[in-house]
Amino acid sequence: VRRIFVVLLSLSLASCVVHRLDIQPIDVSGGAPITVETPVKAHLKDGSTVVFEDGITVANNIVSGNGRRFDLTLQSSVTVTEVPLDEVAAMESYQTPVSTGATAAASTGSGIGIALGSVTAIMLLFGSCPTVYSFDGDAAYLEAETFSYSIAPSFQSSDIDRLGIRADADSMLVLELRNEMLETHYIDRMQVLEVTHEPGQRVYPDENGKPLVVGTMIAPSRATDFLGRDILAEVIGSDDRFWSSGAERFDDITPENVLDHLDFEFDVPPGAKDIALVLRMRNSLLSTVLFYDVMLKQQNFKALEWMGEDLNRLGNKMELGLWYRKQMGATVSVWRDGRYRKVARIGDQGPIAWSERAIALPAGNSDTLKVRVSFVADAWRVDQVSVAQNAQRTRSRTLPVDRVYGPEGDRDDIPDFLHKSDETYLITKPQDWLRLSFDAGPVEEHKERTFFLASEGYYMEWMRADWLQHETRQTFVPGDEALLQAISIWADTRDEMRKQFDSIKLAVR
Amino acid sequence: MTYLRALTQAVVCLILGACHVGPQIDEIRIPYSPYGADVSIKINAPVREKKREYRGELLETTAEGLLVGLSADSPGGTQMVFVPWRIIYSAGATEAVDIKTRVRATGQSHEGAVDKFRLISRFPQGLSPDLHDALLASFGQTTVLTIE
Repeated sequence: VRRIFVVLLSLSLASCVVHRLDIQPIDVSGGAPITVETPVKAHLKDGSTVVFEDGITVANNIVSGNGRRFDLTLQSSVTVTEVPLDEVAAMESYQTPVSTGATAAASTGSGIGIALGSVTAIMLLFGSCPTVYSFDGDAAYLEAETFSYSIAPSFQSSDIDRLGIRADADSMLVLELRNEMLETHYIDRMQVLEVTHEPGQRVYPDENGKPLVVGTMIAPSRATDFLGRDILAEVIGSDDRFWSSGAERFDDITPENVLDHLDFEFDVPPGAKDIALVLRMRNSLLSTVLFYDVMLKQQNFKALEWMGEDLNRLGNKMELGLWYRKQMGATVSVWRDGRYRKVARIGDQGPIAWSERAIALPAGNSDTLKVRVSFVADAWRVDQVSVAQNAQRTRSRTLPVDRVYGPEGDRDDIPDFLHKSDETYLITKPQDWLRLSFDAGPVEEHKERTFFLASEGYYMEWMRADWLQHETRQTFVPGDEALLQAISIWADTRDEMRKQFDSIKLAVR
Repeated sequence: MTYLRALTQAVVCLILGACHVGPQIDEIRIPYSPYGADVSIKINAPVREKKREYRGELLETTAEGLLVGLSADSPGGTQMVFVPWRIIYSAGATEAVDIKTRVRATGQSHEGAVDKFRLISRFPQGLSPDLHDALLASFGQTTVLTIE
């Protein structure tokens, strides 16, 4: 009874919509016509204030709308329908966009694994999202891309990324958070997790983001792709060489033949126990094509409503989330009793930063371990595959943001926004950057430590001008047709897409 | 009706009712009113001493401080006052808007905080000396009291 109730409760909370007031100045300097459909206040140079309850249109240097003009002292007012733009000193618009998810998580997150499961079941991944860098002198190193699957308020989710950074001489970790895309990022929580371990051990997040400490690593003795080609050289080391499907894969795509798989064999020493598969992978831009070119571009203006409202409805959210989860990501299977048996599913990790995951595998009774990783055609790039012995669950220590520094100096107000998942968000716009410091303290003697970035939030894509000029306007319907359409576009643009994607990346300074 | 059925029906009602948290725009005063946001300002005080609190309408925000039309329940009653950032411990809107700041020990406001508070002021564009004096007169004052 309790489990059923928890599931139902989590579903109800997941459907909660949190509203907050958002005030934006209106920039009319560009001279282009502007229409705002939410309340607007215009502040005139003579000190009077005009309230346009239903919004405004700005064209030909005239602000039009149903307004009431109040004098400086607010003692009298008159109705107006037009105000010359040259009388206006400033204008701002008011909206209450939704920011859902935070309340649900805060309400159900404590000790209710099944509830969290129902939320993670509908995570998504598409494109860009906040990126996090560390520094060695002036050189910036991409450490992580966070919650790249959260394309709308109702898809807010948490993410864990393994960091390469080490604490500096003062035991501090300094990371730079960037918004490098045409998106607004809503960051609810950002923390560093520290795992202390023995020298020689490594720590990776598992498929659910839980830390797994592992011992000796074993490289594959054999690695082949879905065509039986030897790919060992591509996946044996963490280097510039990685595996991808190859353009010829798209000559043979049908609804019945849409999956790729990679097969690996490992010679496991006798007596080896607690084996884990360790993968270093990142997504191709297929998910990005699915999002940009199929979901958003083809919906035209309707995409705004789709992201802002439709996806916040529980039915739509579940339909899209479950479809995406079924189609995308990667499935890990192990050869047992004459066939491959599924042991885990890894959610999409994003197309920008390499992601490392460790998957605990069931005990076997053979000296040769055969593992298959399968996924939608060309959806992943695979840099390194290995297995590790002595994989054990471990605990982590949470380091809150200690200090935030931005273009205008110290921002003492921001750490509170990031300490926990609640109703306060750090909101960043394109080209924003902030440096976050975390105080790790001294390391235990004769121990090492590995750090992870724990983040939570969502982002909203900015609609590009050419997307709004697309000639068709059709509602996105999750299904095989959408996936095949994305693969078709991806097949035609694959070689150029990476360059295009990198070219729309914005410089933060 | 069993306990399970009652619980299930209650939760299903919640789902179907599309739970909403936080204000919807029609429920908030600021977008539909010419007034600035109501704010609460706490003044720095030594540890263990109660901090003075002022409440009122935010009229103007500058890099130096906040110009506020105090409400009757503030110390000194209704009047137009200037509160320098350097003496402010914390300031925040009291209605709907998630805008608040805690001022650093140096007494300087954050640039980001100034921008946010400016947006919820009655006069975000700032007040010229003439407009300032006219507004002051509407409070029945000839000079602005600066809170210290």
